[in-house]
Amino acid sequence: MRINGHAALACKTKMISVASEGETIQIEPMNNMPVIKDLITDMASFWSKIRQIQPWLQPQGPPPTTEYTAPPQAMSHLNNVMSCIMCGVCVSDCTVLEVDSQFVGPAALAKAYRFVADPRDAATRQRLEDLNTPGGMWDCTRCMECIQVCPKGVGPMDRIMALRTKGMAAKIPATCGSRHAKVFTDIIKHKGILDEPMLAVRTFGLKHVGRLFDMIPMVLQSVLRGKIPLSGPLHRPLSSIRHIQRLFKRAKTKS
Amino acid sequence: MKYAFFPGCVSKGACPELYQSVMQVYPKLGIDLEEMTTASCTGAGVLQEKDEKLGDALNARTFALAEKQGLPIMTICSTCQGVMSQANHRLINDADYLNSINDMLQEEGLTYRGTTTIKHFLWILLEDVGEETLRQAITKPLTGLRAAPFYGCYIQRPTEALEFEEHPGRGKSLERIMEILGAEVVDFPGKTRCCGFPILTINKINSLSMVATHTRDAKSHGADIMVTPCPLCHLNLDGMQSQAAKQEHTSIDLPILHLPQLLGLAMGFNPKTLGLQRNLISPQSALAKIAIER
Repeated sequence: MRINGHAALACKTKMISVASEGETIQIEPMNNMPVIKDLITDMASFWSKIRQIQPWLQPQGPPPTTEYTAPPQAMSHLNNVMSCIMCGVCVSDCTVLEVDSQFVGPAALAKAYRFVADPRDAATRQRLEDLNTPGGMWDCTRCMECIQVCPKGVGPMDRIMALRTKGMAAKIPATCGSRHAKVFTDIIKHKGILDEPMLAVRTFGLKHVGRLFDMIPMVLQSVLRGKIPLSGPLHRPLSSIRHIQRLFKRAKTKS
Repeated sequence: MKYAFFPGCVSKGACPELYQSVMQVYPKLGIDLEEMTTASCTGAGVLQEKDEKLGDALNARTFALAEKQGLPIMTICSTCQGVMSQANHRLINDADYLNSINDMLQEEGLTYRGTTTIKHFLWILLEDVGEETLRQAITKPLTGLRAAPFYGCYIQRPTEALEFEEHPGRGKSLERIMEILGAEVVDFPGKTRCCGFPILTINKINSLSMVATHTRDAKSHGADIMVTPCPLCHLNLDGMQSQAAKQEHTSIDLPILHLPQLLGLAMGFNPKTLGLQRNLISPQSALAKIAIER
C-alpha cells in the first residue's frame, strides 16, 4: 500500500517512522495498477511484465546430469537483486508508469538483469536486444523512486543502468538512449564540460533529423531571449582537459 | 563562509540566467565564492551509464581539488548535487574503492582523502547562511505570491547519500525558503517527482507528459509560479512547457523560476539583473502580483 504518498510494506513500517508526533497517516492502494477494492489492487499487469522478460534460465548445450551450477563468487553480485520479493512497491512509485502503462517497469527490468548477469545464461544478447525496444530499458528516467522505496535493497534503477552499460558494451543496435550516453561521454572526454547543442545534434544524427527540427521553435525562442549556448569550435575545452583525458585513458586501461 | 563554486555545465550553457542570478545574490548573504574553473562535468548520471567508475574518478578529482583548497563545494544544480553526493558516498564508504580511484588521480598529483563537503545553494541558505541573515537580506517580501516547489529527483533521492538523516530539514528545504521569503507555498503531489528531462531525447511523449502533469497540477492548486533548484528541470518545465501543453491539448502558462531568481526578487533586485527576461514562460503576471515591474 501507499503510506503518506509512497509505497511501502505495511508489515515492515513502524508507526514511529511515519507518525512520530501522532500525526494522521494517509494510507492508499498501490499506484500504477487498477484498484479492485479498498486497498486491494490488480497486479495482473505486474505479472505479465515479469513474464515478458522470460524470468527463467536459458542455458546452452546439453543439460548437465545434475543441476546447472555456478561458483558462489560468480553469483554473489546477484544477491541483492535475487532478494526481490515481487511486492510491487517499485512499480507503484515508478514515475514513467504514471504516464505510460506500456513501460516494462523497474521490477521486470531488475529481474531481467538477474538473468543477463547470470554466468549460466546464454540468452544475454537476445535479452538485451529485447530490452532495447520502446518501453524497455532506455525509457527509465533515472528518478530513483524505486531505489528509495524498495524494501529489499534490490536497487532496481541501478540494475537498469547496469543493463544499459551491458547493452552498450555488447554493441546492440544503437538507440537515441545509447547514442545520448555515448555522445555525452565523448563530449566530456574532449572538452571536460558539456556542449549542449552538439549533444542534441549528434544524439539525433541524420537518422532522427526530424527530432532536431522539432526543437527549432524552442531553440528560436531561447535565442530571442538571449540564451545562446556556445557550441563546436566556439565552445572551448577546459584548460585542464589533459588531466581529464588521462582519467579516461586510465579508466579504459583498467576496464 | 567561503566555498569552491561548482556552477555546472547548464548554468554556463543553456540556463545562463541561473548563473547570472546566483552571482547577484550571493555577495549579500555573507557568502564568498571561488569558482572551480578546472573541474569537469559530473557526468550527470549519463556518463555513468557508460562507466560508473570513470564518473566517480572525475568527481573524486573535483573533490580533491576542493580539498586542496580547504573549501566545501557549493553547487547550484540538483543533478550535479545528487551525482556528486552519490559518488562521494561510494568513495567514503569503501576504502579499497577510494584507493583505486586515487591511483587514477595520482598522475595529476591529486589524492582525495574523503573530507570534502558538497552542498547545494538551497541547503547552504538554511544550514550555513541561516534564517536570521536571510530574513535581514529581504527587502521586498513576496507576500501574496503563490509558489509551487519543484525539487528535481537528484536532490530528493536516495536520501542516504544526500544525508537527509543528518540534516532532516533538507527534504522540505525549498518550502522553508519560500516561507522565509514571504511567499505562500502551494503544495502538490508532483513536487518531488521527475520533470521528464532525462528521457527528452529518448521518449519525448512521456517526457512532455510529465511536464504537463506537474505544471498543470501546480497551477490547478493555485500556483502563480513554480520554483526549482535544478536547471535541468527548468529546461524541461520552462523550455518545453509550450510543446507539452500542445501535446496535451491544453494551455498551462506557468512561469518557472530558478531558486536564486526568486531569492533575488525578495532581496529587491531588478528582474532584469536576475535574467528573468530569459525565462521562456513570461513571469510578468506573477511579478505584477507582487508589484514588481519588469
